[in-house]
Amino acid sequence: MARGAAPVGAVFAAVCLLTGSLWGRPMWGTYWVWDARLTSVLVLFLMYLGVIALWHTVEEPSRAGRAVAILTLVGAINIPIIKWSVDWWNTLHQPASVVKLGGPAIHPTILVPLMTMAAAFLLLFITLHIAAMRNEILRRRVRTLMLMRAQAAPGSAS
Amino acid sequence: MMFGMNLGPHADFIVAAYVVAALVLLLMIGWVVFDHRAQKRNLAKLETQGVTRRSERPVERLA
Repeated sequence: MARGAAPVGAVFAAVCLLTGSLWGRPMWGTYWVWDARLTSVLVLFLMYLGVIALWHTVEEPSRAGRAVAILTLVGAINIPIIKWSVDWWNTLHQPASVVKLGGPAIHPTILVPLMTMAAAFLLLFITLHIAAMRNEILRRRVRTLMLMRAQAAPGSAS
Repeated sequence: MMFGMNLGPHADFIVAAYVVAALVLLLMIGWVVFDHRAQKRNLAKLETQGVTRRSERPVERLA
């Protein structure tokens, strides 16, 4: 599961950061500020990279899975921080405008396209996640078969 | 003006955001498709070498 999600999540976080900074330049007058929301999303992106790196560091998939699971649990703390960072710290970023008490503060002409695109990206994420998981299953099968071939090879210990 | 739409004074930023998003997503989709083909190729190669899963072996070889 996580193995397939990490690259997709990293790419989505990168798109969020890149397009967000392209939006911030004309709206805020700057590409980047070290405020709570932007920094916490950057931390999310770096954690995705960390998960990917950890998978590649540990050779045995089941042991790598355990290490990655711990990192993922620690990283999950970041999720509520991202959500409420704009309320906890007073920064350049606008406070919550979609999911809040009293309904969204966005005009329907923007809210409807926003929700449409959010749904589209969610579906794209699910599709890519499933495809990446299928690739992981195939990769493990290849690995198992290669181990079997190595064991059956003449000159091996068995 | 782009695609007959007036995108206003921030057109460059809007177009750049779309281009970046499209490029990154296309790379991602391309990687997933390429990875799938590579794994399938590896499996086919192993199978031609006679390395198969136990469940895929003919019964007489197990006996």
